[in-house]
Amino acid sequence: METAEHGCENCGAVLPERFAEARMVTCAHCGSTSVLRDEVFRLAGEGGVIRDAPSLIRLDEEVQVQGQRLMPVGLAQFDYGRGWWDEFWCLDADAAGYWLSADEGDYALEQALPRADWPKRFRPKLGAEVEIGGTAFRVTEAETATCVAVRGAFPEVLEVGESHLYFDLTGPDGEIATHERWDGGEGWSIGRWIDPWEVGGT
Amino acid sequence: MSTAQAVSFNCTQCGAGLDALGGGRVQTHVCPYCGAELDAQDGYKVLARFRDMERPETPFDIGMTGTLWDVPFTVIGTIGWVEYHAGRKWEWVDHQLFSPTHGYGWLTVEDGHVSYARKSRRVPSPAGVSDYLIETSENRPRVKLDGQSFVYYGSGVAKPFFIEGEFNYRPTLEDTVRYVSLAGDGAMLDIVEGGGEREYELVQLPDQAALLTSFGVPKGRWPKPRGVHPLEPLRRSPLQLFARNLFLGASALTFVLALILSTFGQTVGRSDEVSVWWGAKVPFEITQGNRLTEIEIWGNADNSWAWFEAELLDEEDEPVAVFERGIEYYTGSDWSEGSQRVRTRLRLPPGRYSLEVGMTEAEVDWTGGNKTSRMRVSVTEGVVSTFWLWWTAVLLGLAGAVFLAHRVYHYSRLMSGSDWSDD
Repeated sequence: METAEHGCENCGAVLPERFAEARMVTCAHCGSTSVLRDEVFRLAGEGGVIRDAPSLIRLDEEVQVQGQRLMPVGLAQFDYGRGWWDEFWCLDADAAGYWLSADEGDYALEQALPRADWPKRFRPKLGAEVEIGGTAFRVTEAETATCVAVRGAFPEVLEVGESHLYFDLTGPDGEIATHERWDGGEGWSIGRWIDPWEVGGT
Repeated sequence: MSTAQAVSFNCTQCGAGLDALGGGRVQTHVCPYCGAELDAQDGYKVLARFRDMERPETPFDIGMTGTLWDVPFTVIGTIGWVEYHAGRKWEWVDHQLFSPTHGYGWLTVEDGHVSYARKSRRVPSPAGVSDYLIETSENRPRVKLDGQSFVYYGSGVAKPFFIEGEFNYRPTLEDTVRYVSLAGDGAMLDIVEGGGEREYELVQLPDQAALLTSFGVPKGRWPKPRGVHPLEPLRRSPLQLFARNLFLGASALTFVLALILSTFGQTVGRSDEVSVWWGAKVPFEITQGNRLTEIEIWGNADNSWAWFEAELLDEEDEPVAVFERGIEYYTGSDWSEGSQRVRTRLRLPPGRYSLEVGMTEAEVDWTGGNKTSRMRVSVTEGVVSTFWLWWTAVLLGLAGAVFLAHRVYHYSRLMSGSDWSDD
């Protein structure tokens, strides 16, 4: 969904504004990131160096996830010390947005949980249990990860070098929920684990 | 994710050089030289030391790489399992696999068969199969996962006796694992319980030769399969499939043809239902001399029999045919035997005829029977004999059924290794 053209403040190249809700894009030419302020993309910093590894998902290449067609338009890489994972911002045919994470064969497809649905009395620690939308979740992973690289377009601002404290919660039947905290913000997303054998090109 | 290249380090127990092949989710690394279990998440600190482990026989070595359904995997760990039950001992070997795109899985070598297992995050319904259910159920317990049904195959309790290499969890020689295996169409579902957790694994049987070749296993080390693996596909040559389809198709066609031909014919004479004391007389005319004429005699025999004599006369009242036929019909509350009708077919040249039929003898020879008292006669021309067609359809169908029986036999072989008993 192309909208009005914007130029990169660093090199002048046209920024690939990919969808109406984009709040952040990286320049394909110089790799710098720009964020939307006052309807204009302002230079925000470097996009970092993307690490290459074999992957079933590639930026700007449509992918089928359990039969659902998605277009990855943004890629953020998060380092958690002993490795990293890829977080793709994807759009479906109706321009609905999804976060598709890929970490050594662990794939999860999530959507932002509206603030009104955020669980109450969540204790952020391993093993803690919480109910979301009537489903019981348990914290199975808690780590701090640093955003090390970004490419493409995102619905929110991701800063390279920014640390995120995240908690992965697992439901009883392949559900996943994620709680994230970073400087100045927090958020919840919810979705499902994806069998890698159900991820493929279109 | 982690770097695609192997990272080398030294065992913090014995100093041996080791390669980390398994990615960032590896929890422990068991040194093959000294048996030290190292914490891959915390500077390879020594967690435990496994001694005097007997190395199991397996065609796979740590570091081997190959493909499963075109996806590259690396063998990163080995666990030998043992199970004792009723004085018998079973052993098998699990190899932890790693793929940067498809994560962690297992290659299992058991009875010379090599299967691939991967974790399922989706939960079947019901979520577990208890020992109590297995012991008390009249039929094999079943679970459903993603619409597919899995039927009980086997269960047991196993312990590791050998651990080496990298794992995405922390195995110990003290582990005890309860497993329940259920067989589905093309895959098995293993429910594995241990350490207070329950996990689900989907098991598939890859093409054995392609798998072993892909992982570079020398032919001399290929395992020799014993028995039939429950996922072994039913292999049929194209010729067998063609023959099966040919027999079943021809049988169906012949059956339909016989059904259609059996409706041919036109009634040219019919008597009223009359008393057997009077007999029946039916005049008729034949116009289709090249076809069969069918004479049907009906009597209301009821747990009794009756004998009829028929005389067929031509236009000059000269006898053309004389024949005798009997009917017998017996019934009970839920059975019947015999028929109240009898048919005779003969070829008659075109012309006018007269048929006279009378009952010559009858008797009640079953409790509560009634002697035949009423009769009726009809004549149909243009009848086609379908006797041989019916038999041909049956024989062709039986030939096709041999292939279907082969499938049933194959299924029974697949389940022959099951520990289920109908008792």
